[in-house]
Amino acid sequence: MIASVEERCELFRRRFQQVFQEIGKAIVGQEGVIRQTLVALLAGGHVLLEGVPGLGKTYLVRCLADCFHLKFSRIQFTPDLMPADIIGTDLIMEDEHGRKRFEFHPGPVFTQILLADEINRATPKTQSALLEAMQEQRLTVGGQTRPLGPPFFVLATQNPLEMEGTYPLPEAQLDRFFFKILVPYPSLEELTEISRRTTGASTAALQTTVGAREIEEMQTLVREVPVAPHVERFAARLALATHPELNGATESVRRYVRYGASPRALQAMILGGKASALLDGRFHVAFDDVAWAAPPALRHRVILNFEGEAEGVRSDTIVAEVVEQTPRDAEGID
Amino acid sequence: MSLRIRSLCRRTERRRRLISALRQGLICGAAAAAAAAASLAVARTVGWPWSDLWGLTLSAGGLGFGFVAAYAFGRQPLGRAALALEEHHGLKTRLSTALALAPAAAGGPPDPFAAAMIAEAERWLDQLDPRAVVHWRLGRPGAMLLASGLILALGTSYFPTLDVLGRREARQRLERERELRRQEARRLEDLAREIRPKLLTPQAAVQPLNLARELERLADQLRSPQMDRTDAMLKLADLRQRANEEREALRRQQPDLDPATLRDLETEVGKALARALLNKQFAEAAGMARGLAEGLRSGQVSAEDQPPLGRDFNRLATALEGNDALSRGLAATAEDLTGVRPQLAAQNLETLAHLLEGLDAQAERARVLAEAARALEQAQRGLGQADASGVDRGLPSDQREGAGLEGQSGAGPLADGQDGGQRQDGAPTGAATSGADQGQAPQAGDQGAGARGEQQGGGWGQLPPGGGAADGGGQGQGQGQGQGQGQGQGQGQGQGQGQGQGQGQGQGQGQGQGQGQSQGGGGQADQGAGRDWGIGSTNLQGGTYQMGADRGEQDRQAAQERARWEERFMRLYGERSIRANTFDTRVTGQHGEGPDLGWRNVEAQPGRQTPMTADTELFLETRRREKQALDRQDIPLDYKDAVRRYFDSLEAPAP
Repeated sequence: MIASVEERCELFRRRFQQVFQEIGKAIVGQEGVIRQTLVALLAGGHVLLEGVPGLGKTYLVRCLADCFHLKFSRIQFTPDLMPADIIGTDLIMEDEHGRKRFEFHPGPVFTQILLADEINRATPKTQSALLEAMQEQRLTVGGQTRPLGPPFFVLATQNPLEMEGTYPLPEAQLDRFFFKILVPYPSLEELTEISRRTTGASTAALQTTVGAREIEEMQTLVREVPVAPHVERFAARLALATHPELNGATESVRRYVRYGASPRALQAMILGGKASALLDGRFHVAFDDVAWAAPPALRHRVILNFEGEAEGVRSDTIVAEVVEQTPRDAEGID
Repeated sequence: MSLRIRSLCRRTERRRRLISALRQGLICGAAAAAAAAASLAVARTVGWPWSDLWGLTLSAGGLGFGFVAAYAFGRQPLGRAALALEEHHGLKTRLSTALALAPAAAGGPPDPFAAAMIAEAERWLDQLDPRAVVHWRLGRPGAMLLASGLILALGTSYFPTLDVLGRREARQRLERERELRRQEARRLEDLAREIRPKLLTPQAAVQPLNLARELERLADQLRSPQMDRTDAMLKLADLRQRANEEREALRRQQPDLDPATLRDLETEVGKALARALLNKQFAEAAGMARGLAEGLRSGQVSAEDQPPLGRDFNRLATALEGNDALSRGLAATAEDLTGVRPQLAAQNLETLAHLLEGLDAQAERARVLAEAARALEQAQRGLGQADASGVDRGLPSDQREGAGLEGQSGAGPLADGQDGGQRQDGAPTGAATSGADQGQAPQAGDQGAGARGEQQGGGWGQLPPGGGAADGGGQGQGQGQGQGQGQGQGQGQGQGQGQGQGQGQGQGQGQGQGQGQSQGGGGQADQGAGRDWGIGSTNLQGGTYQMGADRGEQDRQAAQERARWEERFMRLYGERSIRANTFDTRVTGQHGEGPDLGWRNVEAQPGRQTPMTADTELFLETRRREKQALDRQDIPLDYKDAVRRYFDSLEAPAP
């Protein structure tokens, strides 16, 4: 029996709430980060978590892996990390007959949830090893293409402070991240709660609630959510407004932005909006859903120019201005 | 599927459009009201007869036009109405998405998400109220424009329309007067066109009075709002007087032949010429002279016939001694005929014919001038139809009656000899506006002054209560009664003839200066200066009675004509005053549009709220200065008037 849309959406929300509550057992506060991360996962995207050390980025990813009952791998990116260390390599193996042959030994990327910890500490060559995996969800090694997942999530973290000896991610690599999520510093109450939870005798035990099949169902449902044309135009205007050479650009975009968001940003906003609408119990994407998804989808895709960098302009400020100034019109609906 | 949503959005859109149209209409109405107010202000300044209804009509039209246009062309997509509803009720794009997805859901394969979405949206419809999303806000620019338009309209258009300030009647009267002036101006131009060819004959190319040109100038001035109606009436009276004077002068130049002369003539030619002159048939007489000249040249008139003709011509020359040129021409011709010098006689006869043709042209000119004088009198009466209560001249309402009475009293001594009796009626305000008038005590009602009758003079002075009188010389006809006390200084000059009778009592002191010319008492001319400066007191009782007998009908008519003209002048100018200040002010006088002719100091009137001084004083002061200037020059007495007219006729230099 095929369930109705309402039932499927209700199930979607219930599962999300279960995961959210389970993570909440381990992670104090950071509801926004958790929600954005989950939305990215349900939309089939990868997430770049950025925050100072000790805010629980890695722990969050580990909790996610625990809750989702998925294969989990962690790669600690270091400058001497080689691509083969990530994707694996062919090794000479000897069978029972004594014949030697090459056998592919998969790297940690062959998993379902990949934690790329401190991704900016690896060389660009190593970072680029993830490009095909993140976009195509498959890898070609030794002339043979091997699928990843499904599902396949990359959750990368980076530290914005210790820039010495780091290799900032190239634009192409950044563009492949669905969301870039900023992990804020906890508040006083949250810090107190963290202290209480982590310094006691007991530790939180997370239950696995959602498996790969459920995640696939949820991803399918997200893509089924309809988007009205005027909402799609609003999202497109947002993406276009980040380009300084176009008419819809705001004043700060013209002044501080070198290059605007790619079409992947539009996809991220629409898909993130769809997931957000479902989480809100709606069957359609609203302007607010797109506006909610715009900052994490656009902030790493808006490339500041020299003046912006020199003046310390944050891309979040520019994105907020773009969202504020882009008109929400309903033209064409009559 | 989404019919209810569409219906709701359509209702919302209509309501928003209605409110927006009202807003646009208000703004358009305010803008139109502002434009109407500005145009009305300009129209009033320029003198266009625009009604206040124009402002109301334009404002209402602007409002209506703005509303209709905004409602007809201001239709917006339903999506915007849906967004407005969503924004107000926090519906998160439900309605607009439902509207957008409805066609796809209806036309294509069933989309479960779209159906669920529309169904979910429709559950909200009962909670939605289109009225809640309509805002009445005008916005800052609209509110400012509306407020300014209302203020302008109320301040300059609607208040006068509602006659809150009581100015509507005054404006209507002003418009009537303007129309009247335009009509009179047209009549004057027609008259000028009519008389110009009659007056500009070859025999009268040089004219002391170019009446047609004067009439055209006056017509132009009448159309100008700068010219006061009283100025126009005065100018008309002046022109009429000058036309009559010239007509009289022309008439005096006509030969006046005694019919008894005919009996002494010997020849038929002489008799025919005498009859033509007797009957004022100068053209016929000129023809006879030319015929006779031709006969002398051709020899048709024999030498024997010439001496009798010479004697007849000599008799005619003797009979026409009043007309020097004609008499001299006849005498010279007679001499040549008597001496049998036919060629010389013929030449003289040709000259004589020219003279006679000129006399004929003069007769025609006199006739045209008489007609023009009558037309001018009609025009003056036409202008006088406008209300002369003083409202149009902007006088304060509390001074109008007094000012009018002052004008009457000013006219009194000249026309009827009425003086203080009427003046007392207007005393409360008349005294305030007159200041010094006629050099007499405005409140005194002095019998003596009234009895003196005719006088013309400009006076000045302060006249606190007291007794006083100052009068000019002259003789008058009139009656006056009054009682009062006054003190003042005055100057006066007068000229006239007639009877005067008055009774009254008065006490006062006064200073007076005057010049006068009087005639009377058996036709003997009495010419001389009147009173000079003096200080004294009067306590007159009883009446003064003088009767003058005219020397001749001409002088009497001329004096009466002048008296009537001056009466009109006084009536016109007495009610018009120049606002003075509480400090001494110098005012200048101007004759018509000519240069300044004089000035005088108007003394301050401390303690009075609106001190005024009659501009009668100024005019008469100017006249007095003119006369003094003429007196200082070595000009024969008979030519002084001609000189004055000549200088009056000079046009002012273009500014």
